[in-house]
Amino acid sequence: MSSRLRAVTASRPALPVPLRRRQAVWRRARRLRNLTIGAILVGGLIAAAVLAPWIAPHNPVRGELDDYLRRPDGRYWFGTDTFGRDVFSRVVYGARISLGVGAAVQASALTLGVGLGLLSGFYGGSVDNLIMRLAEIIFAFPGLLFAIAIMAVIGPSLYNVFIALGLVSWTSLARVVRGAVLAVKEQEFVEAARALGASNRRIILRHLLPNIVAPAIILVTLGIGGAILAEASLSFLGLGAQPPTPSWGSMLTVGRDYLTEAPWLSIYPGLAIFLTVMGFNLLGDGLRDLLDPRMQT
Amino acid sequence: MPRGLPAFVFRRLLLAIPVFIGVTLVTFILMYVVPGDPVTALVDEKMASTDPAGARLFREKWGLDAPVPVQYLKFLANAARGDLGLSYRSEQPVLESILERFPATAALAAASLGIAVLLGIPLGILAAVRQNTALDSASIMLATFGVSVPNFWLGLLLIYVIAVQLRWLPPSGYGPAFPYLIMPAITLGTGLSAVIARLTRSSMLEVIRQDYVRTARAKGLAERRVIAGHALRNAAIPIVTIVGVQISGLLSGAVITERVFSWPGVGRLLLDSIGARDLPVVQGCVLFIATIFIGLNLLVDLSYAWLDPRIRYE
Repeated sequence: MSSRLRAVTASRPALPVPLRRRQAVWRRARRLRNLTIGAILVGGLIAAAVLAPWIAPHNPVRGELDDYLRRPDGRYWFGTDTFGRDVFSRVVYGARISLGVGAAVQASALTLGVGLGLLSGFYGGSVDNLIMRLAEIIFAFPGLLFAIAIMAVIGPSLYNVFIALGLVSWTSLARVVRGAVLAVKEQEFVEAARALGASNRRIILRHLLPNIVAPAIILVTLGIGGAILAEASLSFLGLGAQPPTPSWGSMLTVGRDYLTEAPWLSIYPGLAIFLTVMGFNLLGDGLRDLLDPRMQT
Repeated sequence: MPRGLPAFVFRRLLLAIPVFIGVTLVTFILMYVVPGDPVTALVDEKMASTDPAGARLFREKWGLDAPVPVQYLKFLANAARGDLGLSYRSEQPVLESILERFPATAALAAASLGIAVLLGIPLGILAAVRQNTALDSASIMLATFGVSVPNFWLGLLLIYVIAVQLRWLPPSGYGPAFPYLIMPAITLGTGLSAVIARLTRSSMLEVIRQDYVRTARAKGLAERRVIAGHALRNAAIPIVTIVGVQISGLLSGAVITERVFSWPGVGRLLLDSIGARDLPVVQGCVLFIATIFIGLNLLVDLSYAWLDPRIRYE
């Protein structure tokens, strides 16, 4: 018996525990197809955004009028637009705008959502009531409609898109964080920390925050795709980025007017939006499967 | 009628009042944080002059000279009576212009919802019943595509392929005939059908392993009756909930779809009014759509009783 026990112990690899766990997570991650495909698509988008000056063969905002609406060919892979600008270069530079909007909007959603959700869940009472009623009112508007209304008032520009989408995107994160805090705050380890004299600030930062990291990461990743789609929609409606900014949504506005004679103006920017949004959706789904399998749908 | 339903409806309506007031307040405030002076922007266009006398007259005429809180209370009182003011441009009552356009939007939304349900639920059921087969993978892939595809791009692709290349349907516009509705409804319904398919699949997967489903099979019921009568009915609540939540996406999406297909609905009216800075109409459209959204969510809540008689509304 004792020799068998020794054999079992000896057969265990002598790895430190965190490394073994990391390896197991890595192995599981590689098996998740949605995570892999999502990571590849998002990685491609980030590469296009960072390396745009090296990838784009032409200037994205200056064109040759002689090259007005040229079909895709060896020189202009995705054709040219009504100003003779290279559509491929504009699509590549558009990655910067989309990624920038997605990241900025989700950064503000994260700050507002996590901050307000923590306050709401931790303090309860009137603070909770006020924050949740505000979230409810914003939730009562269809999201994009509210953003359209804000844009109608503050005027169309890319900067205003950040503000409009930031203002509407925090509510679901705040609700999830509040729920997680409510679930965690009555648990014994929080009570123990309080009994040991920990301050509210310490309890929130050291004990509650780490428990909401997983749902927050998942929601933010899924939210980036949503924000990119919302920016493209606002720009398509003429309420977002203004010309000559190479935003995918505003490129499609022009594409719509020239659909019969120049379909490439619509096909490629739309494909870029589609692949990007799908990338973030798959990545978000994959992260959920990896980090929190209970949330799986 | 389930026990406690009237009281529940009453309570639910009462709860909707503060949300509705909040919505009017937000809509009203939005229109008052216009950078610069909203009046100047309008006077410019309307009277082709910015002379102070003209501006004063304009303010007086539209009641913009009163203090802002008074204006809000007036707006709220009028809105409660169904009076959303007059359009700066056409001087037509706002509600009248909205109601004129509403049938087009309602037809579009209803057709899209129909497509979404008719496509999404069977696809989700098939995927769940044939879990881990090629059919399941294909439906998951289709759903991922459907969730990610921007509806305005899908609309443009449909116009290009079906109307321009194949000439099967009219490219855009609004006619009494059914063909005009097909492409806009597919454009708007695709995203929702994907969401419904995903949720139906996961909801069905949970239900078909339950004992009562096994019992239904054991007593010799046909598979079709087991799935439709026993499994789907129990899987329906999350599906109905998500349809309720997603209706907001449908209403926002209608604004975009109407733009793509030149569909003369409320969304188009909203966008035209934004372009013309016709603030009462913008305000009216936003309030109208938000109100419909609140109302539909109420209906979703009430439908739970019909779907699950165990819910008692206490």
